[in-house]
Amino acid sequence: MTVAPLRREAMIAVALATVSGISWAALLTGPAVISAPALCTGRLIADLPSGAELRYLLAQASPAALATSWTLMVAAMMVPLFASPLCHVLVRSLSRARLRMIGSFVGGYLAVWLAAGVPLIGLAITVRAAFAEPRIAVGVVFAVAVAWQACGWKRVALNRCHARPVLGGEMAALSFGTRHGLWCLAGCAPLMIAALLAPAYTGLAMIAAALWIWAERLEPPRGPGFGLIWPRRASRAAAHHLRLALAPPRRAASGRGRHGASASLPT
Amino acid sequence: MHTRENVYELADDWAEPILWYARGVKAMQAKPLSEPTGWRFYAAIHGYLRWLWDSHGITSAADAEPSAAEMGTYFDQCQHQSWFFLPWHRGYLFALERQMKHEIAALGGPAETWALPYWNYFEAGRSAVPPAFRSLDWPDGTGDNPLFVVQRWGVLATGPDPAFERRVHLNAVTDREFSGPGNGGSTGFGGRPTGFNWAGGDNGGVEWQPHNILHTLTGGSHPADTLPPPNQNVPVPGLMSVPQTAALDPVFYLHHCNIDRLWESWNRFPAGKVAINPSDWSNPSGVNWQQGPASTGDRPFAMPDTDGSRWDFVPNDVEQIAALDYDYADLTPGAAPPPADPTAARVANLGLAQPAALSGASGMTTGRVVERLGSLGRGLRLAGHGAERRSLRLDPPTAARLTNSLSSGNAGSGLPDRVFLNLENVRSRSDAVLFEVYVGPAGDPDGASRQLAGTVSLFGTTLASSLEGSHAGNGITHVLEITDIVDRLHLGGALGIEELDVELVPVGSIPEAVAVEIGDISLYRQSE
Repeated sequence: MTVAPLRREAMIAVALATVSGISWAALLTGPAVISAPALCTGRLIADLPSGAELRYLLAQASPAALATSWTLMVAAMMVPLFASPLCHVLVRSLSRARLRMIGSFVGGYLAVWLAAGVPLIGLAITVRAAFAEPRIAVGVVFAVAVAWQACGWKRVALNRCHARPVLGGEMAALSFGTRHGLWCLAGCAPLMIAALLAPAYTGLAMIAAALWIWAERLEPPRGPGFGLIWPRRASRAAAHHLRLALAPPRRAASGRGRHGASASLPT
Repeated sequence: MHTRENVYELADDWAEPILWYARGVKAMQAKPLSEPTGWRFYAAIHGYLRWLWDSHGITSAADAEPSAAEMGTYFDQCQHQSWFFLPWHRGYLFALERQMKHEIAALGGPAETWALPYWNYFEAGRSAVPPAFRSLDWPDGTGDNPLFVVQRWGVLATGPDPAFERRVHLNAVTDREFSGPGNGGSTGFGGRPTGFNWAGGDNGGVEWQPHNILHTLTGGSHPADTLPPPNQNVPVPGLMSVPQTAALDPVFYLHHCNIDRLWESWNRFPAGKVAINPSDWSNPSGVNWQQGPASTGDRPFAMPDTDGSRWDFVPNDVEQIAALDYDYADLTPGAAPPPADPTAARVANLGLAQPAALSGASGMTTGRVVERLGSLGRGLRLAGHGAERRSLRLDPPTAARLTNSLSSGNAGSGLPDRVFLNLENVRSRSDAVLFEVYVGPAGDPDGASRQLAGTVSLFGTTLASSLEGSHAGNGITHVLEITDIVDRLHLGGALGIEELDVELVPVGSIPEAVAVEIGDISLYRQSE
C-alpha cells in the first residue's frame, strides 16, 4: 500500500500515541500486578526494608510481573520518542518491505530497553537495599542522575539520538534500532532509575521523567562541556503559543498576496 | 522605494552603486570584531569559526570577541537546508543594506537612493565575479580595493566559466510549490519545514541550484596550501566556499541579492503563470513558517540595527519586498523567462491527454505519494579524478507503477510521476568540492548514453558532517530531479524496471583527505 507522506506521519503519530497512552493507563490505573503504585517497580522497591534479599521481592512480584511492568514503563515513556526515527525508516524503505523494516527497527530498539530492565531494576533494588532510609536512596540516585544529566557524555548520547543513517535493508534497520536504543538508554537510564525509586509518587515521577526526556530531545546540540540541558525550547514554544492564544499575531497566517503590507521593521 | 539593479547593467564597472558599496565596506571593515555594525560582526551573523578566520588572517589574537550574550543572540544564524533559507537571508540582506546606507550617509554619499546591486550570472558572459570585485585597485589606481578578496580561488574569480550553462541551472523556479513533500521527493522551491536549522538535512530547490554551486564556483580552494592541524591535508577553502566565512566576501551580498530576486520572481513573474493548486507560487501560510522558529521554541532571527539596537524579525515581516521598500530592476530569472507551463509541456511530450487538473485549483497535492524505487544499497567513496559508476537496483513492482504513469498518467490526476535521485548522507571534510552526477540505462558499458543529472556542490557539508552538529553528522542529502532524463529514457524505450546506472565524476581532482563519502544512492517516484 502506498501512502502520502503527511498521512503516513499522522498515522505513525496516532499509532505511537495509542501504544503509549494504553501503557500509561495500565501503569497508572491498571491491575495491581502491573500498575505503577503496586509494582512498577517503584513502590515495591521503595518499600523494601533495608538489606532485603531478592527473594523477598520475588515473593511479592514474579519475574513475569516485573517484566510486564517494565515493558509497560518502556512503552509508555519511550515509544513516543521514536516517531522521528520511525518516519526515517519508512522513508528509506521500499513499500513492500516497510513492515519488515519497521519490525527490525522496533525490535532492535525494544530489545535494548527490555534487556536493560534486568540490570536497571537490579541496580534500583541494590541501591535501595544499601540505605536504611528510603529518602536517602532516592536522594543519592537523584544526585547521580542530575550529575549524569550535566556531564559531557549525556550530551554525546543526546546528539547521537538525532542520527539518521542510511538503511540498505532489514539488517541495517535492526542495527539502527539497536544503536538508537543504546544511545537512548545511555541518555535516559539514570532518570529512569530515579523514577523507579521515587516512593509513593512513582506515577508522577515517571510522568515528570518522561516529559523531561521528551523535552530535552528538542534542544539544539551542545558541544562537549558540563552543564544541565534545560528544556528551553519546549518552554519557549509553550510560552509562544500561549501568547498567540491570548493575543492573536499581527496578521492572520496566510499565503503571499493575501496580506496587508505592514511589517515589523526597525524604525 | 529603492531599486536593486543588475551589477552588469550599471553605467560602468565602478558606477556609483559599486563605488559607494566599496566605500561602505571599507568603513565597516575598519570596525572591531566586537562592534555589531562592523563588517566582521555582520559576517559572523552568517557564520563564525574563529580558527578558520585566524588562519585566513581575518582575525588575530588581538581581536576581542563580543560578549557571550551577543554571540548567542547574533552569531551563527544562517539558515540552510531549511524553508527559512529564503526569509532569513532576505532579513539579513535588508539589515546589511540598511547599515550600508547609514555608512554611505556618514560619508556624504547618496544614501537615500543607494541599493545593493544583484549579480545575475545567467546572462551570457556574466558568470564571472563582477570586474570591480576582481580588481586589486580602486578606480583611481590605489591598491586597497575592499571588494577584492585574496581568498577567492574558484573558476569565476578570474573570468566566466565556459561550463557554466552545463553546471548551473534554474530548474527550481519551475517548481510550483514552496515546500515539497520531501521524504525523497521534491523539497520544493524554498525548502522543507524545519526549526532553526544551522546545518544538515535536505536543500530546498533554489538553495541547491543556483545558490550552493555559485558559492563553490566563486570560492573554490587554494591549489596548494592546506589548513593548519588537525586539518593539515585539507586544501584551504575560499571564503565563499564555507558558510562560516562566506559573508566576509563582499560579492556574497550581490549573489544573495540574486537569490532573493529569484524568490521574488518565483512569487510573481511572469504575471498570470499557471497554477494547479491554490497555494502554487505562494509562500507557506502556516504559523510555523510565518512566525519563524520562535513559534517552535527556537532562537529568533535577530539583526543589529544601525544604532546597535536589536531587530527581531519573522518570515511574515519580510515576505513582501514592497513592505521593505525595495524592488528589483528586472525579475526575469535568467537570460530568458521560464517556460510558461512546464507541466502541460511535459504531458504533451509524453503523448498523454491533457488532464482536467491542469485547468487549476483542483487541490491535487492531497494524497500524493512519494515512494522509494530502489537504491544502491551501500555506500560510495569519491576521491581523485576517477569516476565511480554503479547500478541502482530497482524494485520491479514500484518501477512498473512509474512506467505506467509515464504511459497513461496516474489515476485521478492524469499526471505522470516525477522522479528524484537522492544522494543520501553525503559527508566530507571540505565544502569546496564539486562533482557531476550522470544517469543512464543499465547495460551501457561505455556510458555513451548517460545524461547529466546535475552538478553537486558540497557547500555546508563539513558543518553537517560534524558529530556534534544538529543532525549528529548525518551530512547533507542531495535531491536531484531526473524527471526529464527518465522521460527521455522512457520515450526511447531504454527505461528498465530492474536497474538504472548512475555515474559520479569529480570536477577536477578531489584530494584523498577530503574524499566524499556518500551513504547510499536511491531513487524515488513522486505521484502528482
